[in-house]
Amino acid sequence: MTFNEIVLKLLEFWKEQGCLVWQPHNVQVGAGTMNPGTVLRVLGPEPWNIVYVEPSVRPDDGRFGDNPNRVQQHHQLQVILQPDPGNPQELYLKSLEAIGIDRTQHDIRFVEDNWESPALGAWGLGWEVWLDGQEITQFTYFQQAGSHDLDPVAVEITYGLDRIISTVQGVDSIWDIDFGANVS
Amino acid sequence: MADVDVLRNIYDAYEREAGRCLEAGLVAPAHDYNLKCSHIFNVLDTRGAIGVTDRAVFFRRMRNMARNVSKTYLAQREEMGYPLKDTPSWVAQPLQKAGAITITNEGDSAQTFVLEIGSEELPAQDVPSAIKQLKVSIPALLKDLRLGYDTINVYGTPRRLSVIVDGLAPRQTDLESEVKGPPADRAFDADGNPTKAAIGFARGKGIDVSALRVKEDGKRKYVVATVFEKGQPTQEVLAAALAGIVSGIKFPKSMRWNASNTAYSRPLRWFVALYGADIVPFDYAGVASGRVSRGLRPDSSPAINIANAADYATQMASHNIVIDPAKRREMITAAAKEAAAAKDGTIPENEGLLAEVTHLIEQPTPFVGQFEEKYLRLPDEVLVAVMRKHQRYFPVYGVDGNLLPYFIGVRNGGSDHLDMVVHGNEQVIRARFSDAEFFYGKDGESKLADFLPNLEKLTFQVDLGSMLDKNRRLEKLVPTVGNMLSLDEEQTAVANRAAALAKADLGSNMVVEMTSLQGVMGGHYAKMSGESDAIAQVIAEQYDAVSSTPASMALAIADRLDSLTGLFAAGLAPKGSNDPFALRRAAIHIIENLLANKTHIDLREGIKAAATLLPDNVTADFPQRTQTLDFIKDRLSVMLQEEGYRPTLVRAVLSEQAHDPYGAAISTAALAQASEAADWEQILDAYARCVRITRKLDTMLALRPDDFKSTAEQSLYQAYQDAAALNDGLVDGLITQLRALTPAITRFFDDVLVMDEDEQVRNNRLALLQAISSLAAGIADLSELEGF
Repeated sequence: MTFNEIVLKLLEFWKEQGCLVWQPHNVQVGAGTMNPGTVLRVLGPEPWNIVYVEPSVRPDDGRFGDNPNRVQQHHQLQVILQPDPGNPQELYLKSLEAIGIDRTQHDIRFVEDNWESPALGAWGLGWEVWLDGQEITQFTYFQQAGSHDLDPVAVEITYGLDRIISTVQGVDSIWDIDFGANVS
Repeated sequence: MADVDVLRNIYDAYEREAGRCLEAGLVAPAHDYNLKCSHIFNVLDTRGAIGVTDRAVFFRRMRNMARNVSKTYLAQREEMGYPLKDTPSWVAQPLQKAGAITITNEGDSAQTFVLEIGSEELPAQDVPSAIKQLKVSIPALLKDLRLGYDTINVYGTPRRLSVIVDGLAPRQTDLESEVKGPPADRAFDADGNPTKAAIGFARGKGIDVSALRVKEDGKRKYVVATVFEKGQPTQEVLAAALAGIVSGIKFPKSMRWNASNTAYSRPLRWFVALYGADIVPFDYAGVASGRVSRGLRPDSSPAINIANAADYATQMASHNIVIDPAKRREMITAAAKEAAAAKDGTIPENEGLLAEVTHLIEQPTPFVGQFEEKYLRLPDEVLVAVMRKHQRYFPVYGVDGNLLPYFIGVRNGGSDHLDMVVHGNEQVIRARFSDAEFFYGKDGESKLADFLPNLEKLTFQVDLGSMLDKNRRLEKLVPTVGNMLSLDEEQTAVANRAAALAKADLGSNMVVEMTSLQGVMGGHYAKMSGESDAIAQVIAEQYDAVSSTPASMALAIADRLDSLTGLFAAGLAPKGSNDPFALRRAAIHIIENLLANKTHIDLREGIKAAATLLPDNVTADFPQRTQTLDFIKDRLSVMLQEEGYRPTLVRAVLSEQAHDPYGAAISTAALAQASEAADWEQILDAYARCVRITRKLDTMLALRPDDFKSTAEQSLYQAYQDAAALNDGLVDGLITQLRALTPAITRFFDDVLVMDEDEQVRNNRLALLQAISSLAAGIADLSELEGF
């Protein structure tokens, strides 16, 4: 499966779950969370369900020019489910099946990882999801944003696309990813 | 590349623009400017241009802006009447309500009761903690509800906490209790007829007024009612109590997820509550109890219908869910050992990792993975940290004690397609090791000292500055502490050089990536930078509780004194169980180190020295310094009592010697032994007489030996002089001297009236007793002891 196909399948999967396909923001961000579609829209009593790809710009990781797993810009696929649909982990696992990651053939774990952004006044509890020992997703129940309590709470699922794709394609380095249309 | 001043100016300009947009009610552009600020901050940070105070200020600025943007956004949505509020496809699941109580198994036979609390994956440490709490709350509840039972077992996995009560009685035992009512003279009139008070009381208790009896309680007579409470069916009383059991489980961190806004460690998703075949209905957090459990994640969490509580354990087992942590642990240990043995290797015991892995899975299947031998060139500590801390793998060692290129992982699930899982895990560890190799190689291009400037960016604590500031303080504090520990010239030189480089590794690539390698990497890089083995060792073991050399002890203790004194001075003393800077551990390490190395110190001087080095903006004046010492003293007190010493003994010694933990420990032992002697009571009593009569004096009186006229006075003075000359500040010596003084003290009090009418005579006698009292000064306050 190419990068193209994986992104499309995930967008399609969440669209089918009732999410709006949102767009990446036009201002560079360090994480998909900062897209106003997430950090502002989750505020207040209104429900909100979206999916989008966000390029994440990390000047700090750009220092390691020749490191196989560090780049200055990578891609996140971000899902917001607000309110909690009651089975978000199961939906997530189904989304992995949609891109060919069969849970009976792998070891998929939810390992405690709590998220906090002191600059955004935001935090949540959740997990990092491990696929055979590789962290592929951040899964968070957003408790606060902009120093405001969230009610309803929003589920935030952030797929590290580059890592998932290297796993699906079985390549050792993110530089070897097959993007589709014979481009790598 | 980027010009720092330009970037700062851009940041300020963007921030001003964000504020202007917000004033105009323009939320989206204000947010965008804040995002631009955040990016500029990241670039500045990457350039190394952000110091500690700076960082806190930047965060506050961005957070304030985010809060203001959010506030305006919220106000605008409210004004618009929340247009998306009732979007039909986005409606929340309704909160569930408990069903009706059913009682099918009426009768006398006891049944099994099961409660399964199903949730999303709990953090590993929450599982044993919740099990422990349920092991207390369940028996307490059953006792309170007057429900008899045979056994209670509590188990747990990341997704379920399971309580199984075997032989639970079908109803409560009946209860007959006596309730006190109004005084008899108010309950009955002069003719002996019941008054309104008596009638009302009887009605309230549900009995006939004729059933009231009169009983004497102390001096008065009261009416009493015997109230009979018929035992209710188990299903009913449990239904009312189970929500309380769930809400009673406390977690270090908890969260909300649905409209109930209830907090639990992770979202609750199901409850199984069965008494025999009957559902015990209750609801909590919008989840109603039933008879459906859920299977393993790899099996797509299938519904498991439990017909009868008695089948629960077998049904879990038939779905391959190992609910008993002890059993999972055994399976992991046995299979991991076997797997390692197949590679001619062994797995050293590691309680922490085993406990964590046990609580990360529901069905353990260990496997062996392999990595390239070339990575064995990396330091063992790096390989082990990657395997244990980051991947939760067990490293495998050969018979010669060297690492082998294998690791043992544990899969959650069965052995189907295990080869895929092994392959995936091998790819991950390869990437991790290749990262580590990269960082190790990069770090190797610099000397350890070259990392020091990077510490400027690392916050120790906002008021106390950066890690570089801390390192500079250590450079100054270590020589003082070394002096207090009587280091020789060579040891001093080693300790001082190690202090200069102590925290440098925190600025290396490897430690930035893997904090757990702090110290260890410092040691490695020190050697690679040409420092001596002794210096490298001091750096490497600075975080260990017990140091192996006096030079190591100087750095280890100085580091903790700086943290304790500084954070107390900054007003960050631990409150209750909240100890974010691990100051309890720091205090315990100081004590353990001194005790293990049989080393005396004066912590008062140590704290004073550390306090003088703190930045001007924190005041380390008298109260904070006393608090710091008291804090260490409290830890020492707990540790000594845990060794079995009586609290009175510990208090007696610590009130004089808390500043010297090792001295206090040996004094406590000696005093415990002395207080076992046959003549201890006489010795203590004689000494106590001297102390008691002089205790109220607030000045030391002048002793005029020549004015003692009687033999009793003269012989006590002589005995005192002999004792004082032998005083070595140790408990054994003190007791020997007091033993020798005892006959002279007894004779003195028998023959002499201390409180003579002549003030001169009186004060001279008191002065002698005062001098005797103070023989124990600096050793122990014997007035704390029993029998004083």
